[in-house]
Amino acid sequence: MKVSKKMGKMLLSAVSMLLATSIIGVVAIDEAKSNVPFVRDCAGKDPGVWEWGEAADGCDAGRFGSVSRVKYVYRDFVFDRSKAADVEVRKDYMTNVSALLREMATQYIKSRRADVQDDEVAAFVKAIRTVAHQETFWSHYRIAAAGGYKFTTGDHTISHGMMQINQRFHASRDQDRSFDLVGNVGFGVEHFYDEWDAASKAKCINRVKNQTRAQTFENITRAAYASYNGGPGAVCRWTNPGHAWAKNDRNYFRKLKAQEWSEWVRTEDYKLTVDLDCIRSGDELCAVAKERKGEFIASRPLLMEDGTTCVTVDGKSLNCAREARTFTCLAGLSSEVVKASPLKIKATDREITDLPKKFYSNRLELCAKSFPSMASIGDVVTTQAAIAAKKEIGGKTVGFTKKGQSFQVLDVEIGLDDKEVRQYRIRFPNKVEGWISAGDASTTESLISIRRMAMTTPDAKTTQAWLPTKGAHIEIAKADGLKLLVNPETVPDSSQEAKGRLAKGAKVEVEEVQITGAANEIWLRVKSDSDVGYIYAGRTFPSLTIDQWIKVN
Amino acid sequence: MNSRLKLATQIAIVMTVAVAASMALIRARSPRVELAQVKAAETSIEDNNVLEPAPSTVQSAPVAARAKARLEMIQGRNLKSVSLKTPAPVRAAAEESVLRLRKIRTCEKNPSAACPILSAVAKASASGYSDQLVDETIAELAFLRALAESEALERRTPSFSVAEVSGAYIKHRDDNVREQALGLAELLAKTDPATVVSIASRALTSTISGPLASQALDLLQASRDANPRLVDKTLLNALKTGGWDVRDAVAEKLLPFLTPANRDTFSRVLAEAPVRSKLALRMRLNIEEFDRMDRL
Repeated sequence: MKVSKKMGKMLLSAVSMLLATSIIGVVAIDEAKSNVPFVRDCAGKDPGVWEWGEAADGCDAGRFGSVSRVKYVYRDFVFDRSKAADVEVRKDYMTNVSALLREMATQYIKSRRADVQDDEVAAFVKAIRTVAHQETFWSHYRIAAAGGYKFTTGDHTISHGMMQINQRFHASRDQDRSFDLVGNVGFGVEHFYDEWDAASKAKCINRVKNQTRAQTFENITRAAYASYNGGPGAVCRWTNPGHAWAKNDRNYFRKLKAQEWSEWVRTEDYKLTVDLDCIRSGDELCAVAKERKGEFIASRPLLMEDGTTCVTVDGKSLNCAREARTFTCLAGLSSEVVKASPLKIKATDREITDLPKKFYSNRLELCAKSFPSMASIGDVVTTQAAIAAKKEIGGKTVGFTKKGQSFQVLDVEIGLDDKEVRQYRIRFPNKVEGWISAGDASTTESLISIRRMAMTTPDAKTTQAWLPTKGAHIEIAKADGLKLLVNPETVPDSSQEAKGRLAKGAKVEVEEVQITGAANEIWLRVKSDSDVGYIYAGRTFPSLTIDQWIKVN
Repeated sequence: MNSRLKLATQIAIVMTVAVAASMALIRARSPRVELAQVKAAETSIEDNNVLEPAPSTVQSAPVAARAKARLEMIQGRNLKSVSLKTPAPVRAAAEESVLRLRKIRTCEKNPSAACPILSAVAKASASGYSDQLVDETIAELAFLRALAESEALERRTPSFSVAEVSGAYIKHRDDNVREQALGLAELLAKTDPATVVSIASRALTSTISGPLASQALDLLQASRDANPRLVDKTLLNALKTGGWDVRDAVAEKLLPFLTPANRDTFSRVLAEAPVRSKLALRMRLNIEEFDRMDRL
């Protein structure tokens, strides 16, 4: 009878499992694979050890992102394993990473809740440091003992970097939230904050009464980690020592209490060496700029407090650009500027701020002068191989060009580091847009051939024109029509008088195309039946707005 | 061993074999790294110029394709009719799918023997159980979306409440699930734009995913007129207290939301943004373009 009961239980259990499998399992269950944007094999594997900065497998960094950017922006955040025996080297690394984790956690929680109190901020910072310890022993970029830049990966290379960002995460879909250190830690912090916020409402937190604030934050930390690690349903896993994954919670808690990193961090309030806002904005110049303390300024990028960037040749006047993307073209005029370390200039540094300034806004003209082998907007580029088009520069792939396929260039960017890699924004026939990397001056010809168009119409058989071109007939698309001006607004001190108004649907011929400003604003000189004048026709950055102004085809 | 016990043993063995077979099936279909697929050729001249196997815009395509195939299997050619009424097998499939979603939800809240806690996928990693349920939820929502799209195309009465399912799953913690919920909400754009605004607003204020924020913004733009005040409030909240990528997404897509009435409010947000930030540049360029729309 006893055996029979046992068999009955087995039967029940088997039926339950079978039911569960049929309820849940009949539909396709390999969605995870389809949600993984990019998984790569670990080329040049550098097996890790469980030491600070050296944990988990290191894989060739160049497969995941730009090594030259790591060298330029993150030089203080790369652990050199050939010097692993040197305690001071590891302390330098740990002190820098500690400051980065502190600043990111602090900035984030304050940006989400302006009224957050200091003790919660401190608890959150500690929790984030512990997550980074638990996941990778604060490992992200490293130089292998045998040389070569490596990037930390785990879970068969599905999880990346210091916070082990799983490529399933939706946020990883279009942007790099893994390879870039600030992106990686930033996403870890954001994700952990979500869990932190949810944990504070969890039953296992609220049912415990008469706790001090410190105890409550400690419990929230444990709950947030449990769901960070095991999914939202695992928020109270830490209260169940019998759970299959309870060891993760125990290990995390042990690390939280021990704070072993403090043995390696020189000072808790060490000033961060990079500017986080600038890195997040892709403004590498300001990311690494140091405050000026009386240094010599000639041929150095000078970052003013109002957001402009200037350079001086003789120390008597400044050449400036209002946006970083215009300054990169300005800086290209001198090879010395590109190599020089940038300086932040305070508004009170009158020795510099009082110098006369000349502002440049025609970035395409500057880029053409600085980088003669680079294409311009409206030129046609033909790819010599299949090239990945990225949603953002360094971001995720949105499509591939085919060998021999031609595109009209919609926008251009140039890297400010010494490689000066050029990037072109293109549009596929299905209107998906992306950036293609066209190499540096020495390699670009092997990747891309350029037809200089000077805003003339490309051959319709090979290239679709998205931009208005000289000689083309266009139609006014703006609902209330468009002003026909005597001069484009870009000409300073010129008459802004309107000659008349072109109604929606009016057809005109384009005589001249001017593109200027940070947004690549397009001005057209057009000829209608009765008059000649200038109209505005939209911009190409940050998104194309031409359709709202005119119809090109 | 008596005959009852013998029978029970035999049934148990059959069941165990069936479960093992199901497990093997699950294992065979579980996520794994296809190295051959991902070993892409690298162009030799520039790092990060790697050829990748799967363009990100089509990541959800396999999910959608599977959902469509499943729907086609249920519909079958002989089921297509000109009737406005949904054929019974399709309606039954919708009901079954909604029921399955409820069961998955129960499993998310309270794991039990009826949930796949012992499956190979669930046991594979600390988040395996949660991931498996998320994947199942995505598959069901994609199926319901394919079904609703097909019904809309054939002008049939919906066999389930799109608003209800979308509204429920926009509250899910996983952004991949919420992407599907937003996809469902998109189907309401013509018939119920107020619900679309409410669902997309919820998505925008609760996500940290830039791509999801972008998807929500597209919906808000299409249905803005149904509740412009809520849309403005949602965008301002997202810019002030949203996650980093969410703020950037709003700044980038701000232009169609600008009106003479709200322009200055957004300008004040711009004034407080770090001067060199991506957010400030995008907001400024969009406000400038809006001003040109008015001026020119």
